[in-house]
Amino acid sequence: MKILVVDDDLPAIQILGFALRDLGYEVTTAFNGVQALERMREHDFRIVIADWVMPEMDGIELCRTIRSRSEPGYVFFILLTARTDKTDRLIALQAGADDFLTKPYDRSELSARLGTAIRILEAEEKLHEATLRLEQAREQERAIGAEIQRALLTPRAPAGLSRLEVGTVSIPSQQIDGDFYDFIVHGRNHLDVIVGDAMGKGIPAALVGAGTKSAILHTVNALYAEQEGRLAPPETVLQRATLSLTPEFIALESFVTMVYARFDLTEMEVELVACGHPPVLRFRAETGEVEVIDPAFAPIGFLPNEAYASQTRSFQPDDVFVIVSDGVTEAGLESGEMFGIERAAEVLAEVAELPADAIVQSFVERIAAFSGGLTGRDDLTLVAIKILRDARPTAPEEATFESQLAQLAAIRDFVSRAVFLAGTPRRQHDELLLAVNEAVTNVMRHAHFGMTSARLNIRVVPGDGEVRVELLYEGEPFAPEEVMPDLENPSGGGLGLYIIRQSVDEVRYEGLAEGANRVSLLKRFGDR
Amino acid sequence: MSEGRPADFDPRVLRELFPTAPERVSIVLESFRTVLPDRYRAIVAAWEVGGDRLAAEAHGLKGTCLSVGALRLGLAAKDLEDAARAREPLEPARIAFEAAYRDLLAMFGGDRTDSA
Repeated sequence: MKILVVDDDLPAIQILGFALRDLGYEVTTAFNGVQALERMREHDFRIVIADWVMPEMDGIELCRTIRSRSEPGYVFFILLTARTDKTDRLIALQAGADDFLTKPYDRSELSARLGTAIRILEAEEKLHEATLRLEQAREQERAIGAEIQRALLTPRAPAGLSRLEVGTVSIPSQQIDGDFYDFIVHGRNHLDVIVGDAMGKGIPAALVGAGTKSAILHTVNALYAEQEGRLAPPETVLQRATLSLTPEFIALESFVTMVYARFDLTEMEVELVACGHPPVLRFRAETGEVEVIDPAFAPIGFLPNEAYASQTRSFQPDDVFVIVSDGVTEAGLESGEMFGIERAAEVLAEVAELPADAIVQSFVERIAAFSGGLTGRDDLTLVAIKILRDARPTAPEEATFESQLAQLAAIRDFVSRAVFLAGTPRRQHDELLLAVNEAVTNVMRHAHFGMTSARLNIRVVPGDGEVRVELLYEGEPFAPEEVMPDLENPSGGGLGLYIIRQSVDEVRYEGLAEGANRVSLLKRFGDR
Repeated sequence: MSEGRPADFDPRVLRELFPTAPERVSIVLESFRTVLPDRYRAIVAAWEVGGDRLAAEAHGLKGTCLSVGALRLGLAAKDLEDAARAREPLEPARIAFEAAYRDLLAMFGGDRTDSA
């Protein structure tokens, strides 16, 4: 252990230096505080023993200077003094001195005091290492949390919607986002957009956000089931969700602000509720004006019986709705001026002609330029919904599977998602999926009987008010006219074909060239 | 040495600090003999100023003297420091201090910095 001895008196330095070397310490000397600081810049000293009275910089000033440094590692400071006055000792302690030594030195006292110093330094070192390990563990936890949030909790903007385009961005202030958003697609013509902000930041806020999303989705499903397939309005969803969430949030001392908006492309209108969230911006292409819609209610978690009421706005093609978190409106707060909703409205008016993705990107660039970067104090989220002029062409989705019964679940998942995104209402979706399940099973059991490497290609082709699922395979053609349904004796065969015919509007079996076959299942649903 | 008066110099102080290294005692004493006249002159220079400055100079010499075993001069310096700090008449302490310094210096063979 290296010790720095600071004293302007040569005999005193020699006496202390010899004594310390005898105790096994490595000693460096300095004749005043200024010299001592130079020595400390050159070497790492963890113990400094300094006289009080010295020219240029005395022991008290040296101690204060050492304490004010930002270098890592604690320095144990022992002040040499013959002063026994209480006030003097208080001054030394306030300056940061850890201990005192009185001249003339007593060898055993010197040894004991240094032993104490080393114990304290070792404890400090252990604490420092533990703090570092804890910080590393927290950092790792944050990184994992951020990755989980990115991979599992961040929804992709919905595709396959007619006449709607969605752009999103979410930039966390601490890797993990307390902001959240989600989309619930109800067929091709209804989209629910949820944008929320859980109080606080980091993992706790992200968990509260995920829990809130889950509760909202659960409520939407429960109400859908209770109302026999009719969608409950946003205000009803929030009303119900708040009943269960508020007591939990009160217990957690947390709350969530949120915008819940439902876009209805049949009626060309949006219903929205904002709970303690920044207002929603709406660009009207017809006038070029931006409306600030603020249907303000209490945040979720404040009042269990808040009477939410939706506001409704009709919209036209090229209209744009932008939902932001307070990380947008309060950007730049540290520098004394906030970005604000009015400035956001001005930006929207300028960029509304761009695609939805470019609109959110333009906002990000403007906010970064305004607040000098995007490492703000709060999470920042933007969701832009643009109403398109024409229905978008919807391309078929296609996938190939091994023709084995073990693949049935994966096939059902693929078809379900594609059929759903094609805008198929739930009932028609379920019926079509049942038909697909039967048809695929028939192909596997009959056309591919005994084959180990057969494959099945499946295409989901969206149409206007209909969806078609095609099964393409090589093998024995399936001949439905040879299989007679026998409802009195289901185990005798034919039941699968019966189910298929009952479940879809049209079924076709075709033999194609070179041993290829196609089963087409068409389901019509019209516009909801 | 007078009855009840502290020793001008007690060699046991340093010997007890370095019981197995007599050469260290010699090194420290040599340093002390070298710096002593300068420390004395600093006190004389502070004499006219008095107060805190004199107290600080006397305090420094006191610590050095007591550390090496120059007990009489160390205690005289302490009395001088106390008187200066308390703003009391300095003359009695000064007389004792001058005498202690003179006797210690004589014991050490005079002011070698003077002859230099």
